[in-house]
Amino acid sequence: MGRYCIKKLLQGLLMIFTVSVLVFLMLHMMPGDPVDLMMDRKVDASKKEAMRVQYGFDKPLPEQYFNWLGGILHGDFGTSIRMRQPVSKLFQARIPVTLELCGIAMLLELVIAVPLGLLSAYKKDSLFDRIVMSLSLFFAAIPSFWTAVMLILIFGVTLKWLPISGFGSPSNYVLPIAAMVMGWTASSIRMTKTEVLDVLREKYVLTAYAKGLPHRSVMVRHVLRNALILVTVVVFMSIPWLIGGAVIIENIFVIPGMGSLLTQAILNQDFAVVQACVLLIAVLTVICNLMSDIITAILDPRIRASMGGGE
Amino acid sequence: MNDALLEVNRLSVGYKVEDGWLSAVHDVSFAIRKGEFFALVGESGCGKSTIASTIMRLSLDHNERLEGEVRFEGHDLIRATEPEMEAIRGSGIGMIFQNPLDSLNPVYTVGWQIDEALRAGGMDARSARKRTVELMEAVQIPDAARRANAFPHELSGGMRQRVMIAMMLSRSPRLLIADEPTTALDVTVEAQILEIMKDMRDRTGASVLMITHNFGIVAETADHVGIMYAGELVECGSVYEIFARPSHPYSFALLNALPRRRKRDGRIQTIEGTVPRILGESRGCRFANRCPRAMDCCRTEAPPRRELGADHWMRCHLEVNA
Repeated sequence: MGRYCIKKLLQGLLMIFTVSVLVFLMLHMMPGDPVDLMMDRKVDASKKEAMRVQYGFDKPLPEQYFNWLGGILHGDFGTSIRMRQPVSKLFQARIPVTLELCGIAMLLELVIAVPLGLLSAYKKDSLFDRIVMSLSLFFAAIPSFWTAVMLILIFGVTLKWLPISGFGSPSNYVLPIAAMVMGWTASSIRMTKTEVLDVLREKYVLTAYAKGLPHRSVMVRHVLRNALILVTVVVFMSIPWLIGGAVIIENIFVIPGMGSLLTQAILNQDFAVVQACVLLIAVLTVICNLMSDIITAILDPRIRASMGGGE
Repeated sequence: MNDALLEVNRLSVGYKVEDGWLSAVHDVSFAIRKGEFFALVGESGCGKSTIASTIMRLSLDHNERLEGEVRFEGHDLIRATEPEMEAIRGSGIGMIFQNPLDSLNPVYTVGWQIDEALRAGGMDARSARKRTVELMEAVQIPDAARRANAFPHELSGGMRQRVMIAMMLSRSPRLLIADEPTTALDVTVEAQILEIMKDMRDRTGASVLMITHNFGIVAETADHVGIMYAGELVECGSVYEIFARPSHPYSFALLNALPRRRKRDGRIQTIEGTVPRILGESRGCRFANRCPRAMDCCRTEAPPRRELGADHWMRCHLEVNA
């Protein structure tokens, strides 16, 4: 098990490294000079040159890259050329907001999706199942930005029940989280149902009934327990997507999180911020993958065995 | 039939399919006495496994239609509620499945899974584990105390089937249903498993309903045999009667198809055609289209039950030669 984790970790590091190189190169291939963006056109060319030297834009690309990487290893993500602040300081203010948003969204997703999926699978083809399936198909097909705009229109503008933007009181959370959760929950319900149906067809479920277990024990200890293996994987894999979704939602609801920071930075060609954000998302993705691998191994002894570590 | 443990009376099972009702089992009646080893024999798809899962009421298919009755110790299981069935499964009737490779839950140790059955019967965790190890030793699993902590994938097919037997016997059921328990196993392992089952029957006095397509197994284990064709029980009798005097043309053909009864040219005798799929009501004998001795009435009239001796009967239009 230990060796397996180390192998996965190394693979993850390689992945992060590749992403960082790609992000770095892509930003430098983009047209436009960051120094031009920072200063007025009338500013003296020599002053611009001094600025370039100050931010290290005059050095060859590999050197710039390794300077950046070295800084990150020391906790220095560079300085935002737009906001004239260290990126780490920007992160400190923004990350908690996004984490809170995504955390609540994910928890809600799980709490709604798993029971509904289980119930739908068990009551397959019933009225309940049909309603849940049609609704979930409907919501899964709607992009979250449209849901967000509609929610604002209905609950914010027409009914005036909830604030349409900002971030401060709990009522501010409702609409953005609803917009994020709807689509994800819908597809998670469908996935849980499919997985539970697969497990229901397994012979060991019959065995569990045949040895005289009550229905509830069979459903919880044998069906749900085994279906959760895949559900966990998918939930963990969906975290980076959830954060990707947060980028859009934060912009619509004007929430000062990582998402809005990233979009602003891209529009402003704020290199350091974009690089750091994308790197952060890459690291997060790798961590989520690693977590889901480890959790699967804990939940499924067959995988534990195939990892070679044994017991 | 006062000593009957299980009585199946005029049982029919139908499944709703796109173009009507598929008749999986039709008008089947038989009885199993206490301590008897009863074998249900037939080709694949003849409805023998359907009978097994109907007795246990294990079908998860909501599109099925059950008729007739299955009396276990006097209670009609067809009309039993789910809680009543929960009380009967495990403690009254146990069941072993065809493929031991996927009948055990891969995420729990085998010992835990036997414990679970015992705990469902109200035993506490500590005595359950003690009993589990005893049960595993009884089915000849070497090093049982250690093997109890193994996961199913760490055991061979034969070991897993032993675990299944131990699990299903853990609450001393009066009837054990074995649905082709050795089909997925090696021949040598098969012999061991059958030996264990016979031994269990002798020690506990439980009845066994063995479902198989293998006449070798029937000859080795069974006291009584029922031969099924396309959802109907066509002949039923003691194992000696069936092997000595197979009377229904299908039973006769089936026994002739055994590899050891060769024609002179060394070919295995087969039965022409395939088992029909019966939709809706069928008139006449279901074997008529493949029967070498079919008559006109076979296609139009349901065959009558003919007594061939004590506890030996068949459903056929043919006259019985006295």
